[in-house]
Amino acid sequence: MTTDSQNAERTMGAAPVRLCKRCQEIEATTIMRTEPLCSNCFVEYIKKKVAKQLEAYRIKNASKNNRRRVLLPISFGVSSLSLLHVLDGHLQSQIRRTNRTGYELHVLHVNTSGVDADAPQIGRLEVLKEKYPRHTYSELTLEDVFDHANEYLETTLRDVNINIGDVAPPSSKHEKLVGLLSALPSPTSRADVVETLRNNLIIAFAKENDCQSITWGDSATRLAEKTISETAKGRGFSLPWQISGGESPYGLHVSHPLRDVLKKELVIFAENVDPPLTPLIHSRPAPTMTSAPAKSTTIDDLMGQYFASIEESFPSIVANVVRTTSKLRAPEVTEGQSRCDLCGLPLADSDASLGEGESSAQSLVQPEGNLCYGCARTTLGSRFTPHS
Amino acid sequence: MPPTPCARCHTSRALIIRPKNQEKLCKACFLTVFETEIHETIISNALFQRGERIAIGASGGKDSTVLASVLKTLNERHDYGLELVLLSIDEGIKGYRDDSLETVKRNAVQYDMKLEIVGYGELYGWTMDQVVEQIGKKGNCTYCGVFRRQALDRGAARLGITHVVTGHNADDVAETVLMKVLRGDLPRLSRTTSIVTSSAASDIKRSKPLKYAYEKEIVLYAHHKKLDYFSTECIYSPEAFRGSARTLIKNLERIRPSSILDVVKSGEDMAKLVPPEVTGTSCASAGAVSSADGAEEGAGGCGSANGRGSGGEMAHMEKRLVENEAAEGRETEITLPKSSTVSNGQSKQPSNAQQARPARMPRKLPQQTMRKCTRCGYLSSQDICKACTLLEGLNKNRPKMQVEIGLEDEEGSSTLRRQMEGIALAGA
Ligand SMILES: [Zn+2]
Ligand SMILES: [Zn+2]
Ligand SMILES: [Zn+2]
Ligand SMILES: [Zn+2]
Repeated sequence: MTTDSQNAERTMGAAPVRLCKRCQEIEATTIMRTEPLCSNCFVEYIKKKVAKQLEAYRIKNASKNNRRRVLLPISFGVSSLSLLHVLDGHLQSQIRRTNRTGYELHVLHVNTSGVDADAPQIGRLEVLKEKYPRHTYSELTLEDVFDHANEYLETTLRDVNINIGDVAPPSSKHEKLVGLLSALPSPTSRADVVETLRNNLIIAFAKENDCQSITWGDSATRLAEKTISETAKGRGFSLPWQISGGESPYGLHVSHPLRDVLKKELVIFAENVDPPLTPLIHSRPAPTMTSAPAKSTTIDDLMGQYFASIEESFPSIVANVVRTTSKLRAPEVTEGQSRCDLCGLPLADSDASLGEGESSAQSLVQPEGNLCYGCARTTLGSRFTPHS
Repeated sequence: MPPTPCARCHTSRALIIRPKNQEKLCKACFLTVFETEIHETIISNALFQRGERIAIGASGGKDSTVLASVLKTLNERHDYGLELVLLSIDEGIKGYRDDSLETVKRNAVQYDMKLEIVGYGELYGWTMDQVVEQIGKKGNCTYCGVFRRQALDRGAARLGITHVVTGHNADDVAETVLMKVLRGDLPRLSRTTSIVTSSAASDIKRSKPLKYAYEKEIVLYAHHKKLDYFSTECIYSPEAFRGSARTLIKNLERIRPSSILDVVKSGEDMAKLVPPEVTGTSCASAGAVSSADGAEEGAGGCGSANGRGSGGEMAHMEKRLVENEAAEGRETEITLPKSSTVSNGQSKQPSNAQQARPARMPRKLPQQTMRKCTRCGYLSSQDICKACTLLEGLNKNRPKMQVEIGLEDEEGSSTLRRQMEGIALAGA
């Protein structure tokens, strides 16, 4: 069977120009899965793919007097910036068509530069405000978790200074945070707790600011990474809440509109929108690839590298991991069910202690308090205990 | 600097850093804690009953040798009241199996246990060497795995035993959990994570007493106990998903030694979250090797704990998924011009795009009902069990059978495996 584009290729002779398969007019610049596309059609393709995930944000689904507020956490990575760009366009087209919108966007950046030298500096949100002026913007620092923590974490963090205070009690939020992190046993644990605190802060902020929904910029690749990474951290029980989206146990709606788009596709997307998003992106130094992971490597780093390779050769396998994991069903959450003191997720009976086959764990410092398996593991052997 | 004292007895000098948790122990305390953890696993899961006869799936490798040694020790120390028997499979692989069987024979004498050997030759009329001669080196692990599962059951039945213990360790279980997540094969996750599995395909119960034991500690235990085991790995490489998962587990262990236990724990929890309507159906719609007849859960050696197959599995699954996507595209993307919808189905990817395959796999497979194989009487989800299907192909002198489990893609599979190995390294 011959197609137009194959014909086009053939008639061009020695130096074949491959025409875009969608518009059949412009030279294809990229191959989307198997289809050669021009940059215009590629950008439209991605937008359409994301729009399919925005069903909940349609105008007809918004009630008249109670417009939905959606929180969009921005990390300045390619994914969350791409999502901001797409949602901005989505809102503009809603206005063009009907003169109203189905939701309002509140953009939040949690700055972690206090504990992460590679993180973006404070104040970068200004550029976004200029470029996409119709939305509300807020910036918090990770240290603000001591003021905004949700009900579960609040008590935990209040006690922190007592437990880590082997020297003088920390005088500032920053010292408190640094003390907390340095009490943890490994880079993986520190990265894990930073992520947990960041999530808690974002959720608490969403609730304080009447956002009914949080929309995350995770790509399919990132969700697949998270699936294996959380599995490796003993947090398999939390995957339905982290990967599937929908109602979260924190009482908010959660969505991942980029769940069908690969990270590498977002990189091309960001280069091809006009003007490109590329200058806005904060790029972290690429972790070096060696045959054995270094001491400072975290589990998240390892999975990031692994899936960057997998998505090159086997993109559909990445998408399939996300698709299957999304089929896991979250357990019922009952009112008053006990929660993890650190991450705030509901605890099942079996979560109470560390695993089987660890009789010797008794000789180590067992974390006290009510922790899920993942948080118990992350704090095991640390000087950090949630309750004194 | 004074020598570090053992963290347990505080008297002897610590010589071993426990791979599981970095505890510094003397040799005696290490051996004791290793045995004690297995004893605790046996007790807390009520694995055995007094007076029970247990067949230990013995390959002569480190896992099953340590399992036999520890079970003998614990049976005597805690008076379990078990009768322990060694059960070995002779696949008929010259050089590999001959030597390991000699090891098992010596173990039988050392541990004073009865030994039963069942051969593929007597069971199926084909040794693995003959199978390899017939079909070539690729894909023969499919045969080995299917044959092995039945062989263990048949050997146990011959001994009148209904409980087989296998040497699967924590690394094996963790590896299989990651592999299943990567392969999108969650429905039967509980088969991997359960310490006891009784399958619809067999009357014989299986359990894995070493489920929480680290491979590194098994090696240490065998070394310090001076156990006699056979250490040559099977001559065939693991298939791509397995190899990829194995590299991940090794790297995870390096980053955080508890990761192996943590993956096992996650796997156990996730198995509980698989919705009932998905269990027993192929929700991934591609790549999920049906394991109702369980090619993957055998004991030690080739094909089992190591689930061998050809290297193209990952690429094969990618291809199937792309085809499924294209097929769905044909149904849903009605806005596209006709030409592109038609060509959608043809992958432009290099190699094997031309191979005709059914455009679309069924989204859901019907619930499997088990019946007896009409040829051999073994329980099966089909009229003819997989072993008999494979045998039919062999007997008809065909180079290879196109059955569901034969996922390998002869052409280019070695290149793809190399590619995968590259990834595994890069991901390291
Ligand atoms: Zn075009
Ligand atoms: Zn937790
Ligand atoms: Zn000792
Ligand atoms: Zn049969």
